[in-house]
Amino acid sequence: MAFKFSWPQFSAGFYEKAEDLLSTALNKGSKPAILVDKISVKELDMGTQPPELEILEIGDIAEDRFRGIFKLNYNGDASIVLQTKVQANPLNTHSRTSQPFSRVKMGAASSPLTVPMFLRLSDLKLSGIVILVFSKQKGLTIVFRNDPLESVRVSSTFDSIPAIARFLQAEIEKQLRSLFQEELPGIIHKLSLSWTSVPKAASPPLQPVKLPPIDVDSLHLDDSEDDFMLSPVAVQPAGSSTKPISLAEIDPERGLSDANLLRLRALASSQATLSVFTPAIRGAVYRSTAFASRKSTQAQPVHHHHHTLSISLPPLARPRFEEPSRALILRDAPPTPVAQTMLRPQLSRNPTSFTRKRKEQEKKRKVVKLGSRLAREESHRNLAQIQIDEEKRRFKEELDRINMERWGTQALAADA
Amino acid sequence: MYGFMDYLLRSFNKETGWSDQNLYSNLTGTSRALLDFVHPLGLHFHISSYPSQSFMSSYTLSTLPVLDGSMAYLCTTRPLSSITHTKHVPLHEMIEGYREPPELKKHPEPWEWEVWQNGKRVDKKDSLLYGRMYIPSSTLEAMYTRRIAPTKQLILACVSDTKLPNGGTITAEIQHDVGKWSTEYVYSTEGGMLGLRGLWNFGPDPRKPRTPPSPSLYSSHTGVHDTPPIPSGRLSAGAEIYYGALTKSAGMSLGLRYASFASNQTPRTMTLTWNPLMGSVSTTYAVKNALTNSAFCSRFDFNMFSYESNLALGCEIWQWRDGSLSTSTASGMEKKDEDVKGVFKAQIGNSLGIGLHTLPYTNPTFIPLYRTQSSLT
Repeated sequence: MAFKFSWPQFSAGFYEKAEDLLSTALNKGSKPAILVDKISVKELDMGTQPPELEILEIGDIAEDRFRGIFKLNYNGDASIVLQTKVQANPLNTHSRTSQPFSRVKMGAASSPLTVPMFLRLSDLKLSGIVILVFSKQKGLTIVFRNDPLESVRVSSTFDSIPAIARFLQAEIEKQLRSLFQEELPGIIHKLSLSWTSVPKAASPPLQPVKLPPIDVDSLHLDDSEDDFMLSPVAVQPAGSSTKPISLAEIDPERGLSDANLLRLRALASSQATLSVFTPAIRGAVYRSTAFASRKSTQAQPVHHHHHTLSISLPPLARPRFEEPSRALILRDAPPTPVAQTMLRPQLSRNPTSFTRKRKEQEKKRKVVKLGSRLAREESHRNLAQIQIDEEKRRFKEELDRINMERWGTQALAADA
Repeated sequence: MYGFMDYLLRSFNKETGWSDQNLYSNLTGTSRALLDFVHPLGLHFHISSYPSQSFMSSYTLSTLPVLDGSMAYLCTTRPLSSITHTKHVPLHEMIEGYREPPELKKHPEPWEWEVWQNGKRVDKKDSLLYGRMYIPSSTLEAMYTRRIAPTKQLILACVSDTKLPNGGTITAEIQHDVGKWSTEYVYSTEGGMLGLRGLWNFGPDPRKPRTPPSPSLYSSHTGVHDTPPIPSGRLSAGAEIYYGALTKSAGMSLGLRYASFASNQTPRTMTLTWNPLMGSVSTTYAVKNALTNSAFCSRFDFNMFSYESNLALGCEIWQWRDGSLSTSTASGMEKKDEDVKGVFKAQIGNSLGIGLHTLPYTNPTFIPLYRTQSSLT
């Protein structure tokens, strides 16, 4: 699949409309107090090089619509010149922005001096992941998933004053980042509205069609029956008949597919919530550390037998170490699937078998008097063990989180 | 138009013998009063009361553009005996208009204020505490004024609001007024602003006693006593400089004022202020007709770097009941406030637009509570 960009052929009407839209977008929101006039676009040049789009994932392909995730790289020579007026007297800005009651009464020291300023942004370097949605009836839009701005050169009428030039560079970069994330999709969408739809073979930036905000319904994972667990990702039944295959899922370089990573994350996070549903992963083998399960069966004082149900519930996030006996019950390591399936109350089972299991667990229990030296030693040992387990778990969680972040953005992008 | 709390503050200053006219911040006071009067939007309703001469309260309610109100309280250590009921307040004290230069008098020495009893000092410094709470927006304004010495006054003003950065600002000001010259030291937490202002009055020093001139040989020949010419006006020069520690900004300005005394038929005030860093020059000329109690003022601003200029004209005309403009009746007596029909203020300028402010004085009890105004900008 190829995209043909015919980049330099922008019409004068396009430039006019784009300048209008950009001016409106730049003046939206609060301007810093130092600007005393609205920001207007004086010159806009789209450059000669088109952006490079690399296909990461194609979500939806049909005759009249298209949806995909791309990696966008732009190293072209587009430039834009803005003009506005700034207040050259900082005391005037101070007087205008301070509260009238506690304001320092200044005489002529706060007299205004407005200076026109031209700002030129050039050498724009963009690199980011973008979701491009095009539909013949509704239009085209582009949404950035991350911050695409790598560098931009800001030159203004105050270049000879390095302090102001540095300040402007920092401010403009900040404003541009928010502009790309928030305003640019709307601008491109509005631009695309003004033209009629053209067959998909032509360049996408010139194909404007109306489009509502991004909907996440056209992409879903393999097992749609497990959609209850993927609560952070809105999964809805697909409208189209085609079943999309995520390239990330069949990528041999990655060990685990995104869908499975998401399910694992849902499984891990279900331990931290009070949700009664534990997602099951089909076709997987559960393994648990024998030591943890043995320890869990040992650490059950008699008076907590009515809390056997609580064992199947996920442990609380913060271990409480006030009483050693309580700390033994509130295990910090999440119960492994084996232990969980063993201890989860299953109503379909024979109740006698459950009590038998409990009796077995009770038999293994050591009778230790509370307050004795043995009890104290054991509680210290258990505490140490719990601390070690806690650290292991935290390390594992960190690792999972990092992995999720690395692959998860693309996985989330896959589901968007 | 001054509000009740402003009136109380000025009464306090008068009661304690302090005049803020001799400060650089009020160098252009006359032109600001005549040209920069504020146009309130909507309908405002004020109720004030003073249960005692040391404690006063005021409540306001505004309807447009949004409904909001405020409560204000003020207490002083020195009872303000000059405040009266609305219908007895002289109108010229409530209308901000032409300000005559005050007579420079010598402040008492610090030891003159000491009161001893049983070997201990029992005198207290005069102070004033004021607070205003805006009800819907939960903004609190507070001010504390203290006369720390006969020639020094401390003013602390603060605004507190959760919406403001750092929760609000506090501004502290120390004013030192000797008569011949005055200085002000300002510090504000907003931007770490430090300020210094100074004013110098040319002419006789009120601290030195006036000695009659010794008769010289020449005058004894001619037989005419050489009395020093009575000055018809006073020339004052001043400067201010500011430095913002957090915003690394600075600014300064210089000013000059010539004000003729009220004993003249037509007192006039001319000021010139210049900001050398920004290159802005501003000149004002205000004249008051003592016969008709009307004042006219004009201001011309010019910027040497950007060539921007601005001209503003303003006037304040008092209308009397019998239709004439004179302050004295046909029988030659001084007209009183009951004879005032209304006060008309107007201003016009490039940046000000056109503003008209009429205060019909139908019933003395209604003046501070009712005013109409129309402005086209």
